[in-house]
Amino acid sequence: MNKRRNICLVFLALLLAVTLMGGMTAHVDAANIIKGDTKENVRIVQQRLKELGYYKIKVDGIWGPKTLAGVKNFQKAKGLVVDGIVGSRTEKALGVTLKSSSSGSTTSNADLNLLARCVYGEARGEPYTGQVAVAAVVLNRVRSSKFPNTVSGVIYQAGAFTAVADGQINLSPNTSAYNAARDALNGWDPTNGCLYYYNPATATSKWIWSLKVELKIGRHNFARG
Amino acid sequence: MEKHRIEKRKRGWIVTSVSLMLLTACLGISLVFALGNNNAAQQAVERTHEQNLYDLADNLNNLEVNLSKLMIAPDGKFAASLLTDVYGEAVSAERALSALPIDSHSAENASGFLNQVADFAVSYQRTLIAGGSGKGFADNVENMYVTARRLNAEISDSVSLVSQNKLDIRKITASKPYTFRYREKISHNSVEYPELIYDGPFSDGRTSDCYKCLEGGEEITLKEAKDIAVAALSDIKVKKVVSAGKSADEPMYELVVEGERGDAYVSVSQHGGRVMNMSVSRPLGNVMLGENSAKACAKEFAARLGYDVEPVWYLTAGDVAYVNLAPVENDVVMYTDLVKVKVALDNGEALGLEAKNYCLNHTNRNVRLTMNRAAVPTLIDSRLELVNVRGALIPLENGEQRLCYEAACNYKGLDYFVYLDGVNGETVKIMRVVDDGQGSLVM
Repeated sequence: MNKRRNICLVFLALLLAVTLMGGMTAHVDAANIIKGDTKENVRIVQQRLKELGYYKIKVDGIWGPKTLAGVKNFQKAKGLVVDGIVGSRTEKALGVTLKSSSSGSTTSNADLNLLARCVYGEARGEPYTGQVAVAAVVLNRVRSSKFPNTVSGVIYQAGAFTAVADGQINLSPNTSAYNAARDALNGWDPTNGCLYYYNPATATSKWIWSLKVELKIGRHNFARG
Repeated sequence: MEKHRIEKRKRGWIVTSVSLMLLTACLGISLVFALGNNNAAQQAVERTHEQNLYDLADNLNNLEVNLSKLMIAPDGKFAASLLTDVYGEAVSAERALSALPIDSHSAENASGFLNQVADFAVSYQRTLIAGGSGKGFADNVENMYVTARRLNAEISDSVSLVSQNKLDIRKITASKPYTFRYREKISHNSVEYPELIYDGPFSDGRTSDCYKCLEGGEEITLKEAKDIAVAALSDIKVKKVVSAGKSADEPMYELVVEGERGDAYVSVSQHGGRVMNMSVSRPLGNVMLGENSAKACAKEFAARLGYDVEPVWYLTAGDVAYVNLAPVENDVVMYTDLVKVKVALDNGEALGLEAKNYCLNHTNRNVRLTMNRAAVPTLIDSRLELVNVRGALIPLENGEQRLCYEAACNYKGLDYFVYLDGVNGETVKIMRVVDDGQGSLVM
């Protein structure tokens, strides 16, 4: 009994040590096809399902009921979890390689991803409009002469965003953050040109309190500066 | 029996002690590794900060010298070449400045100055390329030179301290918030920044917006604005409308709306009571609509809010479509007056409207193209396959609007829009159509 307890103790000690030495590692899950995923990924899945006989209509890249039914039937036939989502297992079973939404090849996709990460890090939990507003402030800064001229330049500017300083910028954004970023990139700006925002409950900077607040969306005050 | 028990207990103690020692050793090793990694990372950050500081100083130094040369050589090829250098140095200096650990507010006037210098250089160079004279830029060049010299002197002071190890970046970056000694040097308190009026997007002369479409509109009250919002958002069955404030510039009532089927945000202009910005958030169902239906829904919604516009561009993103619409007069598309409508592809309801450009620019123009349309094929490159021609009023980067012919062309499978000046046929702009997997973008 004692022996078993000692073995358990050694095992726990090793486990703890290995965990500590390993540090923090994050695994990024494979791309999931859900409603709202890229047209290209949907097209790849539809094409493969058609080859396998689970999808009969035109390959159009639109995630509709027929595609969903095709995925579910395929999952059922292969003994996978029937959830209609193309996760890493379904992707493997289909024998296709989907493009991750966070590795876009064009500049606009890179901007969208970074902006979505900023929105998620800075404003998750805020109402949707508040998230669009945060993304719009970033883009208003890109357009202003007083700030860097690129999305990455503005977001990574020293001391500009808390999410960058505390590492929350590296969290994977949710669909809402992506949609908010996309809306802002398409021209939506609920702040009507504001360059600053802050949470009055947590802001410590003196000068930011001197700015005239134009709007209050969720927990953030927005100012033109 | 007793002896056996004592031996067993002793063995148990030994195993426990060994495992505890093992744990301590592992913890110690992990701590050493963590500290080592942290130290290496810290040093890498400090090196980057130092490099950025030196880069900033180098670029400011070159900028000062080149601006002083430009003062005595305002025209010709030499000036054009100098302006290329000025542009590059201003951009690099701004990049280095924004990468330093100074809070953005302290550096924003210096950043603004450097961005304006780069923008000014482009504007100046375009004038020279078009055959214009650089004499009109002389005052601005001199003002910029004086500011660049002062900024350079202030930064050089910090750089000399760092190079003599009198300013320890390690200590500075370790403290929070960062307090660089040269922060005050960069801020607007020590250097006076000139107003720069020139032909470019960052010009100080272009800071105020004038909403042409709202001019002369009757002033409405907050209650009336709320009624307008409720009418615009009938789809979500509005329960409550709350004011989020009033944005300055052109006064807008900013309203937060709560509905049975979703939430929304609406901006209604105080003058004329126009819905200029609207965004709805609600759960979405399966995609049921195609391009034509979505365009029709967008057009109908825009018309309901008083925007007489036609769909000119379409882009999907998952469950929604973004439809760009513009007024079309005498076969001329007014791209300057764009209205954007976001359509839910489950039932065609509008999820958003953005009409700032329309409100800023729309007015009765009565445009007419003077150049003969038949001349268009002769003015584009003969290798291009011409697909379609129509008139277009397009916005240029310097704020100007130009009446053009829009020639949709194809070359080796790539789609282009070539914009030719409607008066002299000169090529004003070329846009490439890029398919990003969700729709077509123009770049």
